[in-house]
Amino acid sequence: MLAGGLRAWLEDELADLAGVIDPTAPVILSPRTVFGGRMISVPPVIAIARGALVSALVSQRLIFGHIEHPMDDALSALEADPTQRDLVDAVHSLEPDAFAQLAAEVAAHDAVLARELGSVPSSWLPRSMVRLSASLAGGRFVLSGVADVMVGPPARDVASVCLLDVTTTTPDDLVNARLGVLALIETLRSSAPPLRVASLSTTTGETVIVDVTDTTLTTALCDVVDAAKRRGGTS
Amino acid sequence: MMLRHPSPTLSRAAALTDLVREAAPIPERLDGSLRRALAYRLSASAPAREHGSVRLDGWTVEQALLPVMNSQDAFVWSPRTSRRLLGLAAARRVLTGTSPNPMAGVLAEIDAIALRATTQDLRPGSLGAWLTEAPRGVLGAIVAEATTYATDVVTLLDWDRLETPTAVGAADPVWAVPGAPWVSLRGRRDIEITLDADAGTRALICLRAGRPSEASMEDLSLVALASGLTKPDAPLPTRIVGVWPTAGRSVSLEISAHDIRRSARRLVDAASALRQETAHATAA
Repeated sequence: MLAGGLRAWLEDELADLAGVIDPTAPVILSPRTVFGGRMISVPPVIAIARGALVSALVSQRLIFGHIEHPMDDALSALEADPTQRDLVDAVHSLEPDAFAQLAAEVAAHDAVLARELGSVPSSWLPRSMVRLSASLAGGRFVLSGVADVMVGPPARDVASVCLLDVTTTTPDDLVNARLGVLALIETLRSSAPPLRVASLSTTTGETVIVDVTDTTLTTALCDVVDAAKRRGGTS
Repeated sequence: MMLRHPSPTLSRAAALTDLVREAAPIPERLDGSLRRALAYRLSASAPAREHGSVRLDGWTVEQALLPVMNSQDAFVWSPRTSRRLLGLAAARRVLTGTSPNPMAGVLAEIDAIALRATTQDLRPGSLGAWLTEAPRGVLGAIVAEATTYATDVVTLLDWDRLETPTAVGAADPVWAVPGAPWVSLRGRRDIEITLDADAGTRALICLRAGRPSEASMEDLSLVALASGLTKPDAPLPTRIVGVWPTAGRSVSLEISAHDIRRSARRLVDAASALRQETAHATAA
């Protein structure tokens, strides 16, 4: 199977690095951090909050179809998640004007979601905020990602899963590469490649769709190996 | 400790189904003297009754045996803590044909709980009380988490090939320690599959979050111990299959008497550690 070959290839490439990494403190690589060397800056808290709020709205849209109060619903969803306590505190401590501006931005992003996401039938098995991970080199490297939306049952004979990454940033020239890494993680995790991976920018409404091929996965694999060598060499 | 892995050349569900269904060897039984010794040691080493109930499971045992015990927050309902209960109930609805898909199953289960809430007095802090008061945004997060859990269960196995009785999401086996009933052991398992109804052999499947760790096999072994203690007339489970959907990993622990003895010792060690921790907290 392709996934088995990819895993063996990755394990071979990472074998030399494994010796210098403490298995209790693994190097964690995500679609974003694989290309971290080229990131310009760390996003400010307000951008992180906006991203988390919009991600929460993706779930709400999949389940209820429509949303009347985007900021209220998204914020109450985050408030119910103990892991988001610091972020929620940061939002609540915003000045009234800044809070109102954030709420307006969230509503604008939600309008794009409503237009682009549409209604997804529950028979497609939609699930949201699906965490994906794959351990390599005896757990010394962990590929980790989150699919904002996943549809389709796990593959049996043919690829049947599609992943959607929703971002509040504008698409850049690395979007295809990041989607490739997400597809690679899902392939390693489930033993079958996804049919398609896509990205939706709720800032511009642009969508990028990648039909997953062997080339998509092997290119992503090389990107992961490069990132692991950079990170492994500095750990 | 004997571990087996699903075949990598089959689809995940088919491979796991093959692994689970494999015939049981001569069934092992829980040694009666071990049961008595465990009850005696636990009642002697666990925190005293005045410190409240002591619920032991894979998580609490692992935490208790850490070199420095993590402080544990009090339990609160959240989308994460409710997902297993709702997800399993939804999966059961789908597998019995009463709901067409996992999301519909979760919504139906929440409706059923809300309906019960209108006819019964709700215990403060219960799932029903929390769900009926949850704002729409929180409900969305709850449904999302539970739907993912239910989908993982529904797509886990090749259900049509399971010809023997299968229980999805039945109540976890809980063994209250004789002589110290405030101390209990809970085996958190999601699916129970009968292998041979006449012999009473069974396989248990446990879904776990994250990825497997060094302590994972001890967790699975503890599930076997809890199951054996609560079913004294049945053999021990033949195997406990751990599944980590996030990581796409699964492994079968083939249960032996040795695993059970080690697990029992670990349980007593954890109870002793909890007693010391309680004593320190009281002294402070």
